[in-house]
Amino acid sequence: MKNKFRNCILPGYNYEGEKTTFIVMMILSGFCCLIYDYRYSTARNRLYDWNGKEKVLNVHAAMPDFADLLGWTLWGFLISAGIMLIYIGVRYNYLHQESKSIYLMRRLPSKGEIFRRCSVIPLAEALIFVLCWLVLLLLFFAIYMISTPDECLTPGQWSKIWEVRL
Amino acid sequence: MIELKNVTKAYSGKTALDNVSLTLPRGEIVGLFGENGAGKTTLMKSILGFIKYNGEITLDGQPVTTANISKISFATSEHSFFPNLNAELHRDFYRHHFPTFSDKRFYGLMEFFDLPLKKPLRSFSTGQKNQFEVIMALSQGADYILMDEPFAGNDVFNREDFYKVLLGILEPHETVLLSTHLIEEVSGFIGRAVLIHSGQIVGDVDVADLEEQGTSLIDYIKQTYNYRADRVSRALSILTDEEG
Repeated sequence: MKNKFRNCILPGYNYEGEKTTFIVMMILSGFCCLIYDYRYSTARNRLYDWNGKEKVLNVHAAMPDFADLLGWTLWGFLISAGIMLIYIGVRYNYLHQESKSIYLMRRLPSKGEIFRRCSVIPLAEALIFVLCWLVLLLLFFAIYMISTPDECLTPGQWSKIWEVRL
Repeated sequence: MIELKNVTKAYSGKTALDNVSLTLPRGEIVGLFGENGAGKTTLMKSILGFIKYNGEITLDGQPVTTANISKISFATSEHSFFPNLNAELHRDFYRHHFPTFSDKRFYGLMEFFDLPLKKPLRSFSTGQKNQFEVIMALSQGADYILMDEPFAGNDVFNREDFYKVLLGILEPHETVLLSTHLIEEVSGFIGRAVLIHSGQIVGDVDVADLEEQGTSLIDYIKQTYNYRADRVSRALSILTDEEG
């Protein structure tokens, strides 16, 4: 496994910088998700009135749309995916820095060597961010639909996400 | 054998190679001579498939592809190593990709040039970098070794010793195509000289035949290029008049 990973990195390429970017972007993107949690729980609490010490659902209250609560909070993952794709260019550029190691790479008998060493890891990193975005989108939507009282839900929540995003 | 048939290459309207036909059989040491911009580097890059061209280039009868490209090695003054990597790690990388890599040549030549094994290549001097390029090209285990101005930055003693070592280590099946401006220096160790001018092959001669005719390689090249012997005296005369 370690060898396979090593075979996807250009010789002498400083992968640490790319790795650090991945980790930092993952932490920042994850942190932005907490904003959604805060927005959702605040909006949900507003559906209830306090009758003394008892919490009573206001059946006339409407929950804000999922798309509005979500806002930009998951964008970090998609931006990070884009940044990881930039690393493909950085890696190709590395083959032209100080020397023309691209000449050596192009002389290698193994097919797809340049693509493997320049693209596979950044593409995998980008895919991880996109998958995180998708999983969290589905998870947040499921929580929204399950935890929000039916009386306060407005219809067409799923389609509203794409109306806003696309 | 490497065979070029009617190879033409133009860069944005300027012809770099003009209908070049050339064969490089196994076991020859061929000097490739020409002025700057004559097309020497373009010719080598075409053989390696680095640039697109019109015409046909074959290696032992087959087009040059990943299937047979390991039969060709390349030493270039532009350098093709990884600057952050040391020599030992380059050896590992080459061994991984070129099963014919020769450790014996690698360590022998590293010792000959007195190059460090554990220092990153970026810390080498220009001369050392060129030496390393040559070492890797010779150690790869290729049948055809292309060298493009490999000795820039090396002192004359290093170069002369290297020619001797090269002649001593080359196997009969190995072909060297050597592009250089150091014509007189290499004339004693090449078997054939190919002259290129403005993208065209203008001369292709066996050095032994020249010797038999009593012509030196440099004289042959001067004749082929219509070298004007009075060029220096004319320039001096003009310059002296101006100053006067």
